[in-house]
Order: sequence, then C-alpha cells, then structure tokens
Amino acid sequence: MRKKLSISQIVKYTLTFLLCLAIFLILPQKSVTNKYMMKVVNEGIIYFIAVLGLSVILGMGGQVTFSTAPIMGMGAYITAILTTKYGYDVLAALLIALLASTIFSYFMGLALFRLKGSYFAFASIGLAQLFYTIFSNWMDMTGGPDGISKIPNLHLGFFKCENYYDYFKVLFIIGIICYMVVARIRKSYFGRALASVRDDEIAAKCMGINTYRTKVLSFVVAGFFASLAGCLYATMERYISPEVFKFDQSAIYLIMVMLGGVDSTFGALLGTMLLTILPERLRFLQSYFKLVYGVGVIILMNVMPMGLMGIYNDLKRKLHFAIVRRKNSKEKNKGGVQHANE
Amino acid sequence: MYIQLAITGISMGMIYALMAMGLILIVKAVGVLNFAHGQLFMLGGYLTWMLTYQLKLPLWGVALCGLIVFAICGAAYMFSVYWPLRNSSWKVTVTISTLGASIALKEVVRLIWGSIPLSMDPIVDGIVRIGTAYLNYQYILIIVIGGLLMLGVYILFEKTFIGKIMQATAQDRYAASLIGIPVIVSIAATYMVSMCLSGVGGWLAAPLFLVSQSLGSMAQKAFAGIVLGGFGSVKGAIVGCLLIGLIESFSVIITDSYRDAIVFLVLIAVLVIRPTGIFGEKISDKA
Repeated sequence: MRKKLSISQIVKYTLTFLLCLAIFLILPQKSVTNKYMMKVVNEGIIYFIAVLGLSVILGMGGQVTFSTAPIMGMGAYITAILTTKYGYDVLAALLIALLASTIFSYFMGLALFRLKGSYFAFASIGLAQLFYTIFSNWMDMTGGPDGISKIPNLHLGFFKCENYYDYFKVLFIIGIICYMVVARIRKSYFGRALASVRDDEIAAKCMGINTYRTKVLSFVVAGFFASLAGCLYATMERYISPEVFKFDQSAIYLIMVMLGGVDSTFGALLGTMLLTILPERLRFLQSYFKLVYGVGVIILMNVMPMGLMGIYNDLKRKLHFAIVRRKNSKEKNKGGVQHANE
Repeated sequence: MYIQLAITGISMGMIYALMAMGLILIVKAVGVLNFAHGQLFMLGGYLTWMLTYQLKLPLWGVALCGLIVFAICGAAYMFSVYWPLRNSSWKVTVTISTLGASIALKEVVRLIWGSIPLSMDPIVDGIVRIGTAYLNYQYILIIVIGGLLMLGVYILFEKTFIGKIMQATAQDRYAASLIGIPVIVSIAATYMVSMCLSGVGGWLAAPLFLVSQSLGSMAQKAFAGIVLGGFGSVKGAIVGCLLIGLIESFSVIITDSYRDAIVFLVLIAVLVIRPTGIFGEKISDKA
C-alpha cells in the first residue's frame, strides 16, 4: 500500500534534497574548505558509514559490540594487500574485500551470537584483540606496525579521485545511499524484528521471530557497512596501520552512536560529525582534551541518555503538548464564557 | 621448562582471575559491564607505586593504606559512574559511561604520573629453583596472595552477614530494599571489594610489567577468561582465567608474537564448540 505524500512532506523532501545538493556543490571548493578540513570531513563521512552499521546492531538491536574496528580493518587490509601486493584494480579489490568481510562477519555472527548480552560484548572484544594482533604481527602481508602505504587512489571507471575534493563527492553520494538504506531498514520487517529483540527477547520469540537469525543478520549488516568504510578509508588515506583498527577505536564508534541518539539515523550522522570535527576545534585544550572527553562522555550519559536526537524529540513532544494544552484551555475558557452568558 | 611455563602461566592466570572476579561481582550485582576495569587495575599499580616510592611507606603500610585507598576509589567510582545512572531505562548507557570513565582514568593517570613507564621492585626479591626451573619469587607470591584473596572473597560472600546482604542485593535489588537492606551501601561494598581485588592485582603485576598505561589492556584477557569459563559464576571465571594464563604461557612453544592471537582463537573456538563455556550453566543476562 502506498500512501500519498502530504504537502508538508513534499516540502520537507524537496528542502532536504536542495540542502544536500547545496552541500554537495559548495563544500568541495578550495575557497570554502581548506585541504585539511576537507580530509577531516571525509574521514567523518567514512566513520559515519561504519557508525551506521553500528546503529543498526546497537540502536535497533541493543547489542553492544566492539567488532566495528576489526571488520573495518579487515576490509581495509584486504583492499590494500590486493592492490599493492597483487596488482588488482582498486574497484575489483574493493568489491572482493567487501564480499569477503561480509561473509566473514556472517560466520562470526553465527559463532558470537550463541552468547547473550554482556557475554556477546566480551567475546567481540576478543575479536578486536585477535585482529589487532594479526595486523601488527603478520609482517609479510600487513607490514606489521609500519602498515601498508602507497595504496592506489579510488576510481569508478569514469570518475577518478585524485584529491580530497574528489573523494568528498564520491563519499558524499555513498554516504547518502547508506543513510537511505539504513533509514529504510528501520521501517522494514527486519528493523522491527530487531527492535523487538532489543526490547524483550522472550516476547519477540513468542511473536514468532527467529531472534538468533535476526541478530546474526544485524551483525552482517553492521559488518557490511564497517568493511565498506574500511575499504574507503584505505583508498582515501592511501596508508593504513594497525593503530586505526584498535579496540579503542571501536569504543569511539560506540560513543558516536550514543552521542547522536541511538534511536535515529540522523543522530548517528550528528554524533559522528560532532566527534570528528570537535577535536579539531578543541585543539587549545591540548593534553587535557582526552580527559575532558572521557568526563564528557560520563556527563553526557547522565544528562541525555538518548543522545542529541533524544533531547530534540523530547523538546518537540513537550512543545506539542504545550500547544495542545493551550488550545484546550482556550476552548474551555470560551465554553465557560458561553455558559455564563446562558 | 614445562614447570616454569606452568608456574608463570598460573600466576598470570591468577592476576587475570583477580580482575575477572571483580568484573563478575559487578555484573552480578548491578548487571553492568565495567569496561574501565583494566584502568582500575592500572590505577592500583600506580597507587601502590605512589605509596611505596613517593610516600615511602613500609610494606605493611603499603598493604594497609593500599586497601583503604582502593576501597575509597571503588566507592568514588561507583558514585560517579554507576549511581547517577541506576534508574536509566537502558543498560547500555551505563556501559558507555564506563567506557568514558576508562578514557578519563587513563588520562588522569597520565597527567599525574607522566607517560613514561615506572619501574617497581618486586615485593620479595630473588630467584627460586624448582627442579630445572628458575623462577622469580614474585610469581610464587602472586599465586599465594591470589589464592588467599580468593579464599577471602569466598568466606566474605558465603559465611559473613555483609556477604549475604550483597548476594541478596545482587539477586533482587527491589526485594532486598523491601526487607530493609540499605541497597546503596551494599552496592558500594561490592564495588569496593571489586576495586580492592583488581588494585591488589595491579600491585602484584606491576613489578613484572612496569607501571604504565598499557597495564589496562590486560583486562581483555580477563574478559576472555570469563567467557571461556562459563557465565555468571565466580568459579567459572577463575578457572577460565587460569586456563587463559596457561594457554598464553604455553603458546610460547609454538610462537612468540602471536600469543594474544592464540588466546583469542582458542576463545572463539570454544565458543563455537561449546557456547556456554566450560562450566555450562545457562544463566542469561540480568534484565
């Protein structure tokens, strides 16, 4: 069944589209953003893609996982090794890496989701640690702590990325597509099933949902987005090292999701961009930055457990109620006056 | 050779087990994963370093003051990271807040004591010879103190009144409050015990590994031990951690640089074969 769009919705979509178009055209210009800032924004978009996957598994499914960084690393390393050591074409390497890491995350999901809740999180830490050890010790393939450099630039056949400005255009479009996919998942059967698993697993089972398969599927989706982000990261930075795919980085992704608001796709974007760009603006704190950051996270969880979007939704609801109450009281007043006249 | 590996393995396992016990106690009491546990362990190392080298206390003074300081830290940690969030509808918020605490603790330690690793003398110096094996006394000491602490925790929880109170709170906080148990005191006590265990662990491990911020990453082995041993039980966690220690030390025979990888491969293999861990109790998460 297809609902007709109301006028306000049409206006909303058009405005969003125009805004995206404006960002797409204005931002990647040397006079607007300098090269360094462009790189930061690009990294932000890449992290956002990884965080989107995490928002499916954490926000919808309620499962805390530290597998984002290792799967991302897997994608990045496969891309890097295939292009630099075996001379594959970038696009082919990227697709192979995506496929391989998605299949891998399917099998990992099968294994890890035999555990529940907290113990699943413990086990996913094991995954992060395992990958970090492999990345930093397999000298022949991964180059050990030195990493891999000279990864070729991304190209899409007709469009070749040569600088950060070109990358922005590609990443921006990929980012929007991923955003729409996740927003769509949220409204699909799978998204609702996942949310029911998060809220009450036993109830979900009673409704006839295969909770195990749903959770594994969410792990695969998260793995897909993470490896996509990893592949893009490798080709944009042209250099990767194990440090970027550490356990700590996974923790940062978790914080990004929570900052924006677990329950919304837009929140993921907000959280990622804030946490990527804010450190650049807070350079003056220098050595105190990380302390402020850590304490900030604790305070954030205290003040707004549902993140920025949670606060926004709360405000909206309160405003709505205030307006309704006002209207009601006005009507009541009117009624009162009429009554008195009679 | 094998004796030496076995003893170092068991003593490492003891250190992991001290951390794992603290973790399990918190998980059982409040149903929260404490991701800052490795950082509390590291804090234990730094605090004892401060007591021995900056305040120049004798050994018994270090032990006594250490326990008091750990208890205070545990309570402070609980009141800052867990207590304000106890009524939040979503457990993940507490988990994330412990992640934030782990970052903050690491930075606090770095700002106070600097980022250069500090060396610490072993509590008992010297080397002992068992058969063909030569061992630091420190390893033996770790096993002895670790064993004593475990016994202490067992007695505390099974034989004393305060232990019963803590267990009751862990089982059902609401019911415990109904029969007049001060829940706040009980949970604070759990955090104190937990912090004391990992703090002593940090103190014991410090002479072997230097006092540095990377001590915190040892908690990941404790996580692995918990999963390996089976869920929800302190006994399972201890056995799991000892196994992890042994696997780690014996993997030297095969490879040196992949030690961590072997540990976690074994972990994942066990999960595939026997998802409930070695002690196959099926206890699901606290809601």
